[in-house]
Amino acid sequence: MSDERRMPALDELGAEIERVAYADAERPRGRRRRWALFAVPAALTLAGAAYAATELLRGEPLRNPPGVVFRADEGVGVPKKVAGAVVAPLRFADPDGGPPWGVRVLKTTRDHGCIQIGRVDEGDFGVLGQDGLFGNDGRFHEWPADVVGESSCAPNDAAGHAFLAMSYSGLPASGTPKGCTVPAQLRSAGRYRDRMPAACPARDLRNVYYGLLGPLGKSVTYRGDDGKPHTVPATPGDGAYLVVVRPTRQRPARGMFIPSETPLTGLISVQYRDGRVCRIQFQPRSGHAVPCPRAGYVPHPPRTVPAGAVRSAVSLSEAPRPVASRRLPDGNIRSGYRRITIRFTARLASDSHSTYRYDLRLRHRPEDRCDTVNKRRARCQTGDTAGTIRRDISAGETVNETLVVSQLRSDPILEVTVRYYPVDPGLGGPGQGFVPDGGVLVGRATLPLRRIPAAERNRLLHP
Amino acid sequence: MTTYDPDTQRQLAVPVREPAGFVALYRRESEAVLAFCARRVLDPETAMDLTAETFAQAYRGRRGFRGTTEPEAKAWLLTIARRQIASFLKRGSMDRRATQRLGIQTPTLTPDQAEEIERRVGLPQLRVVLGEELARLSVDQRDALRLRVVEERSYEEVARSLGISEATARARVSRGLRALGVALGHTTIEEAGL
Repeated sequence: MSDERRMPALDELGAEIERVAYADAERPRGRRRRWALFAVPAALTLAGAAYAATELLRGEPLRNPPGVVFRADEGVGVPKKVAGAVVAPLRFADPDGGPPWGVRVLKTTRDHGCIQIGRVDEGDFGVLGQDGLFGNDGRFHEWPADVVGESSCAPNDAAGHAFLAMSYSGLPASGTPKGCTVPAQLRSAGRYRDRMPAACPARDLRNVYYGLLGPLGKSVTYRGDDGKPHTVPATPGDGAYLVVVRPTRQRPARGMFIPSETPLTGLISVQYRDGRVCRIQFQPRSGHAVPCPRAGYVPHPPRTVPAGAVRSAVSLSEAPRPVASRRLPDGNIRSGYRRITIRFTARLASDSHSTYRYDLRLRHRPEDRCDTVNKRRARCQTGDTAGTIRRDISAGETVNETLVVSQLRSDPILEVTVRYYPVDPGLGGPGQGFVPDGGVLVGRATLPLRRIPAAERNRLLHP
Repeated sequence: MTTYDPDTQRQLAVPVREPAGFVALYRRESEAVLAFCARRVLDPETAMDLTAETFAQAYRGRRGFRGTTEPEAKAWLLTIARRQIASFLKRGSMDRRATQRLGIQTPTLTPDQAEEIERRVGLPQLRVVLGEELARLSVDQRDALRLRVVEERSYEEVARSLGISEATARARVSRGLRALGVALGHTTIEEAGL
C-alpha cells in the first residue's frame, strides 16, 4: 500500500479532520483567558488556573422550562434518535472572539427540519454564561438536542429537505435571547419594562442570519463589519448557512427575528449549485424584499379530498367556571378567562403535512343593531382569530380542542368554522400563523356567549 | 502507507493535541486505521465510517493522550478503532456520535474507490482464507456468514434466506465473526503487510 498514491476518500476525510482541527484552533487565546478570569475562583492553585487558561469551563446544560414537554406527535415533534441532531460543519467567528458560532440541524419525528443557533466548543453545541444567562458564570453550557424550544423549524419537502431563513436582529452573544433584553425592546416596553430582564450590553449584541437553503444552496454573500462583501459556503445536503455581524446604524439591533422560507434580509445574495444567483432586492414602494426561490424544492404529491369527505358535526361548549385568577407581576389581578371546547370527529387522519384548522369569529347580536359607528361601542364586540390543531390525529378520532377566551365586554355570538387542509402548510408548520390554501369544510357551529358581570365572576372564581 | 520499526520509537514532532500534530497523525496513520478496520469488517464503506469515527473520537480525546512517540500514537488509535469494531460487531450498527458532534462529513465511496480499498487491503485474498475458516464453524453461523460476507447480502436478505429474524441473523453473523477473529488472531497488522 505504501508505494501507491493516497486514496482520494481518505484525502476527503483528511480535509474534514483538518478543517475541524484548525477551526478549533482559530479561537483567539486572549478571549479564552478573559473567560478563564471570569470562571476561575481566586482560591484555585496556579496549576488549576493554567489549565483553565486553555479550557473553557463547563456549566450545567440548558434545559426545557419546567413543565414544558415536547411530544413526538405534537407541534414540530422531537428530534429523531438516529441522526436526529447534527452540529453542521459551519463555524463563524464571533467579533469578540471566544467559541465560534455554529448551527445544529435537526430532523424531527413530525417530518420537520429545524435549525438551532449557538456557540460551539470542542464540537459541542451550547450557549455561554454571559448576558444574564446562568448568572454570567462565564462557562460553556451544553445545549442538549432534545431542548428544542428555541429551534426554527419548517416542514420537509417530499425529498426530506427543509427551507428556512432566519434574520435575527439583536441576538446576545451568549447564543440565546433568554438572559437579557435588547435596549430597543426596553424602550418600547412602557410599564412592562420592569418585568423584563435587564438590558443586554450593547457590545454583546449581534445580528445573525442563518437557515437552510436546501440541496442546491451553495453560499451566501453578506456585508461584513468592514463594510465589504464576503461570501461564506453553505453545507452540502441541507444548505445550512450562518452569518454573524455586529449591528450598525444601518442594521440596528431591534430584538426581533424575521422567519421566511428563503433569505429576505441581511444578506446581499444567495448562490446556488446550479449556477443561479439570487440578489436580495427590496421593493422601494412596499419595503419588502423579493424572495429568493426555493431551489431544489420537491413538493409533496397533491392530495384531493372531495367536498363532504371530511364533513362532521362540530359542537361548542363552555366550561362552567372561568379560569382562576392570576396575579400579574405588576400586582394587578386578571381573571375570568373562559374555556371553550370545540368537538368534532376527524374523518381523515392528519399529520405534519395535513391539518385541521379552526377559524373563530365573535359577532355582535342582531338586536344590538351595531352599525359602522356604534360598532366601536362596548356592546358591539367583534373579532376574528384562528388556530391549528398541531398534532397527529387518526381517522375516526373525536377531537376535543379547548381554547381560552379573554373577558368579554359584550354578549357576542361565537362562530367557529373547522376546515381540513390536505396540503403542505409551508413555513413554520401547521398552526404557526401561516394560512394554507385549499381547506375543505368540516363543519360550523355557533355559541352565544354572555358577559359575566364582575360580582358573578368573583363568585364563580372564589365559591 | 508508512510502516514503522517498533525499536525506532520515533518521537512525535508535534503533540497530537495541537492541530498540526493531529493532522500529521491522520496523514501518517489513516491508511493503517482504514486497513485495520476493513480487514475486520470486510466492507470498505463500513471501514471508512469506522475510520472516520475513530479519528473523531481520537480528536475529542486528544488531550487525554499521554504518549510521546509515533508507535504510542498508533497504538492509541488502533485501540480506539478496535473498540469501534467490537461495538459495531456486537450491535450491528455504527456509532457516529463523535463524527456528528464534530460535524465531520464521512466521504461516500464510489464503486471505484470501494474496489481500490478492497484491492489495497487485500480483501479478496482474505475472503479466501475466511472461506477455509468458515468450514470449521457451526452450520448456522457458517450459513449466516456465507450469505453476509461471501455473498455480500444485506441482513434482511440473510434473515429471509435462512427463515430467521433479522436480529438473529445479526447475532449469528456477529458470533461467527468473533469466532473467525479468534481463529485469525495470529494475523497481526505487521504480518499482513500493513
